Amino acid sequence: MQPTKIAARDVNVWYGDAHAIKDVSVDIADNTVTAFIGPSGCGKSTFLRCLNRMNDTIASARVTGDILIDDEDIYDRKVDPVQLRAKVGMVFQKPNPFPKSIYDNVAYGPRIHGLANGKAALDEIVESALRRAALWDEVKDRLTAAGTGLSGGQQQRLCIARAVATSPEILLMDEPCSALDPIATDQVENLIHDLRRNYSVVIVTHSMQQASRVSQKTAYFHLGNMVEYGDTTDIFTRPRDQRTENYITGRIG
Amino acid sequence: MIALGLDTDAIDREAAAALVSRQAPATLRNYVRANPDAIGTIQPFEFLAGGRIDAYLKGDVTLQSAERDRNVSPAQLRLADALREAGTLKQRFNFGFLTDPDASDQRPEAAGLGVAILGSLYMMAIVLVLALPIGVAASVYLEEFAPKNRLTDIVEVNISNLAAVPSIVFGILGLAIFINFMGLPQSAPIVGGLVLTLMTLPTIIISTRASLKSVPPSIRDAALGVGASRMQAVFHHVLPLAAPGILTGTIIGLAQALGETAPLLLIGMVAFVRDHPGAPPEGFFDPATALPVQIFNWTQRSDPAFVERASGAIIVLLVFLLAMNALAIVLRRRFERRW
Repeated sequence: MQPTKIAARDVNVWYGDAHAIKDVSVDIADNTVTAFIGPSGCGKSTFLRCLNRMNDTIASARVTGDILIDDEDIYDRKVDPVQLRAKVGMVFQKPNPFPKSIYDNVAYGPRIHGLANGKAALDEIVESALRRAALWDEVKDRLTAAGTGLSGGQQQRLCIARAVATSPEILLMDEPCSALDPIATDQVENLIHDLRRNYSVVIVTHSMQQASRVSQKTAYFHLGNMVEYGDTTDIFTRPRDQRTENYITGRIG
Repeated sequence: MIALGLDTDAIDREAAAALVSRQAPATLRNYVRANPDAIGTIQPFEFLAGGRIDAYLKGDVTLQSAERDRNVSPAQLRLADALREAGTLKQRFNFGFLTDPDASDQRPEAAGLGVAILGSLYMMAIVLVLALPIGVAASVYLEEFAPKNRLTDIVEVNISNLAAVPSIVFGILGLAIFINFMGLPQSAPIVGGLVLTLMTLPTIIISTRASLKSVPPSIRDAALGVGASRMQAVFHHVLPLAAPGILTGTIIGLAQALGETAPLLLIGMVAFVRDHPGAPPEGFFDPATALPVQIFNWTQRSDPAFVERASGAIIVLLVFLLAMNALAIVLRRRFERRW
């Protein structure tokens, strides 16, 4: 069992009057892939966005409860969300590279955080990030080409490279494969397997097959509640809750 | 005339002299004042022909119409013909039209657009320097940073309303605030520029906000996701992507301001100005006119030669507007990026 990386305690989220997340408590382990599954609108993406305070950018969103990363409350007044997001990287549903070169896409994070001293160091960071994202061999000869000119799967891996370039400790992925074809999905899933060695990965997915393929832990969300959380094999073979069973057997969702 | 072998009995000296523009004596006097040594020598000069002679060469005045015209006689026209035969009277493009200042009713041939073009350029410079940064800053604040509450709603509605306020109202505002209250000089490009800035701001703000809105939110998420602050996300990613739209909006706003007449009438830019304004920044406070006001002014004059002047000035104004719109298209093409 890996040590706990993220500990959420009684987290509630409101969008205006809508209660999107209800009393969710969960411990997410280090060096583990944790999957959030559930039907649309169940709050899994909302909860994911709480983990790096991306909900701060939505004016009507209100978050209560505690979320601790390495025993530090990320909603504490002293915590700078900008620094937090450098530590907790995020990959979005739709590949969203900047309309800049492949190199600049990856180098942007290290640049604004001042992680590299000089061009050589930056080159090194870019190369290692692209290697970790299993993209280096495909793009090493055209680093100055536009990131938006890559294929969908390559763009998503570029976004993963961009996220790992700031040396985060946690990677949040919001349905990273929903816009990709099966081959590109396979590549990204293999990548998630490898990323587990260095990061704690939290992935939101609509695909139960994907959750069972990539994750060690799975949480099932239903109407803003976290119904069940446990080892992925247990969730898919011996669900304890009727709602979980209904979902994974395809009766709802 | 004797030297050219023309018949001197057919016309008296005064009538012959009237062939040349009334501007000529003044030019000659200024030349002699500046070069007293030239007295007693022979100097070649080029003078504009009088307005009626000009019109005769272009076919607008005929021998028949001259019979009924107090300002020109058939004898003068015949002399003009003779001078043309002799090569002394030539027809060519009058570049002074673009550089000279306005002239009085008596000498339409000497009237030029120099002061008006300079005045318009000065005002455009003021509008660009003031309206672009203020407009873009206001849009970025409203679109990216401002909380959505009653106050910002009111501000937004008022910006849209300002875009629809009749321009003459801005002129009255300029007269009351900039001239009467702040004591800025009348007829000065600084006041015109300030008034036009107020008029152009809503246009720039509306188009800038539209282009900021059209930047996909995923780009903001991407920047925030790698730990950029909201400021960095806006200045590194959103603004560069919105730049083509902002530039287009600004140039369209400037073009609109360039053609604006009504507010300038109220702040005295309709004055008759003989001297070119000085170099900026002092020149911003010198009296000047503006292209559309000059056109308006010339259409009020009685001498038919001003019809031609006004038409020419309209062409100049349209050329400026077309050039600015072409620039807007080129800039948009150049900076447009796809994602």
